[in-house]
Amino acid sequence: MAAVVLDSLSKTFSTRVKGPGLRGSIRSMFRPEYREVQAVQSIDLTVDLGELVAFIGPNGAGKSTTIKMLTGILHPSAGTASVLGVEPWRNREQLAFRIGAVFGQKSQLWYHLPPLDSFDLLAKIYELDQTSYVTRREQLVETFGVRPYLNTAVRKLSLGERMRCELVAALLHRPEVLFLDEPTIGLDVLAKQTIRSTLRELNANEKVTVFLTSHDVGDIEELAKRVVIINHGQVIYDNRVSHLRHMLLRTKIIDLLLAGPGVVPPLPGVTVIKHTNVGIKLEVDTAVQPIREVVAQLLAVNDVVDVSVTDPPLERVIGLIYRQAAPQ
Amino acid sequence: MKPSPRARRSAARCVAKYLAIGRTGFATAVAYRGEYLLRSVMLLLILYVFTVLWRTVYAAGGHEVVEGFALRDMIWYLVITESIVFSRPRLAGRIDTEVKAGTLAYTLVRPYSYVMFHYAQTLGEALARGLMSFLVGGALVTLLVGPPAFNFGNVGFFLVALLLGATIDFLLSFAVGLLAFWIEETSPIAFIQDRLLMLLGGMMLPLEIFPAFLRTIAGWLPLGMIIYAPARLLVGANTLRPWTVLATQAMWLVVTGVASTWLFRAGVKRVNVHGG
Repeated sequence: MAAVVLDSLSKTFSTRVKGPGLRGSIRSMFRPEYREVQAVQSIDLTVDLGELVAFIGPNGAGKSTTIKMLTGILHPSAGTASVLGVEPWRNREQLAFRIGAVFGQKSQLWYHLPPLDSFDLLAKIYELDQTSYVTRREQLVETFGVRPYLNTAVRKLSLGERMRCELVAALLHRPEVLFLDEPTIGLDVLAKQTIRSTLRELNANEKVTVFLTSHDVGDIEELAKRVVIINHGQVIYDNRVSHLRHMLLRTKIIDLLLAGPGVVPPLPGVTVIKHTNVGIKLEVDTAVQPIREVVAQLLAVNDVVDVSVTDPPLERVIGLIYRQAAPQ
Repeated sequence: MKPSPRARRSAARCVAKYLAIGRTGFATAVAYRGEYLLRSVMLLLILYVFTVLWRTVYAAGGHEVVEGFALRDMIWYLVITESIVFSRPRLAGRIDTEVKAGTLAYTLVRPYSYVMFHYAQTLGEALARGLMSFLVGGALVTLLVGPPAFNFGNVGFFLVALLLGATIDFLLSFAVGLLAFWIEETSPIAFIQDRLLMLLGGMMLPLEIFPAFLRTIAGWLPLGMIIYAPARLLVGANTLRPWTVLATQAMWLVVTGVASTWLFRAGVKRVNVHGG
């Protein structure tokens, strides 16, 4: 069964445009001019129950707008969507019991109170049974390792500590679908890893559907199996994460460690990235030049200590997709 | 038709939800002991100054009772009105910030009503602050002018009028805060609202003492229903008809309720502009 279905979902904002300077201000007071901005243009997408999907795109691509429509905050201008079979903006409060959301840029905990008080209050808000709430809370407190901070006011927590508490808060009511809008933004490597591994476990053990937006390639590589890329409000890529590299990248990186100065045989489709006394780094266009041929020639003419052939970093792949989909 | 046990159970949970939110409001209000203490010092200072002032006024006028108020009543009236004013959270500013920062949108992800959430929280905070002010102020005033001569038969009406008044005040401030959907800065409006409440709501003086034209203006505004009317039920000559007060409050409740509901509905449609 599908957890989230988007059916030609669209959202148009009309923003007021103002001419420059005081004259523009006065004119726009009497004769306001509006400009239509298509934030989301007819997105079709289906996410199955238990899937972990990364929803990515450059700034202003329409990610947050989409998440806000799916959580019932915004009404779409056209098209429709359903989350767990419910239209979010029509049955917001009813759906709220079954979904969870974390917005990395906004805290949802009570700023002046310790997290434990926020959790207690959320248990009441989500109408949980006291016993099942306590069991669940203890389990989450253990998994996210937030026990030391339970009684410290939220305003005194570090970003990483707070974010883990935010996730506990979002999961207390056992949501079936979890929306995460940049959950690792601004966190250090260690905090990111804790959050990623815990989310992976939750997705595997409890079959929570996770819908995640992020700018962090690590989130996508380590968490998601499927990635949906949007730009200018449209889906431009929807496939497995592992597929990203193979489909789009015809290039490989060859890294050589040498015993002495090396030589690069002149071959078509080969670009030198770096050439020093002890090493050579090459990029090979595999459509023009088979990788086997390049490696063989390199080994033949150089005194090679070590060799590695790798894919370019995912970050570059995504950058490539963003640029390809730039407006005409 | 009898409600099913399940419906009754979920209604009970719904009430428990808002009670819990109110309790959190109470806890937030007492979370900062320094601020709590400072407020009390301010209140004591005001009450002391006014006691000295009224003593002089009563002595100079040569009357024991002014418009149904003996000196002691006048001071105890102040204790109640000041406690009400001190109990008010800065709700308009809070809503204004939530609208501008877009946090209003995020609270919509939770299973509660945005209005009821703030109502419960406001009442919780107001209870913590108001109770503290009343106890601290009352203790000082008892030392200065003696225990109160309340209309004790009206205590029930007073409590209901207090709650209704706080609700009217909540709805007004909520509406002012929601104006942030349309205008850049709502703080001047909130400022005017606060000052008018203090002057025409009868915080410093019972409305009887006002000149006739001011009384007429005050009578046309809901502000007196927030401070003057509840306080007056308890203190001074027992001339106010409790049921008339409650009926007038109910009328204002409907007016402010319709206004802020309309503003909220219209505002939420504009969430997109600020939510980005």
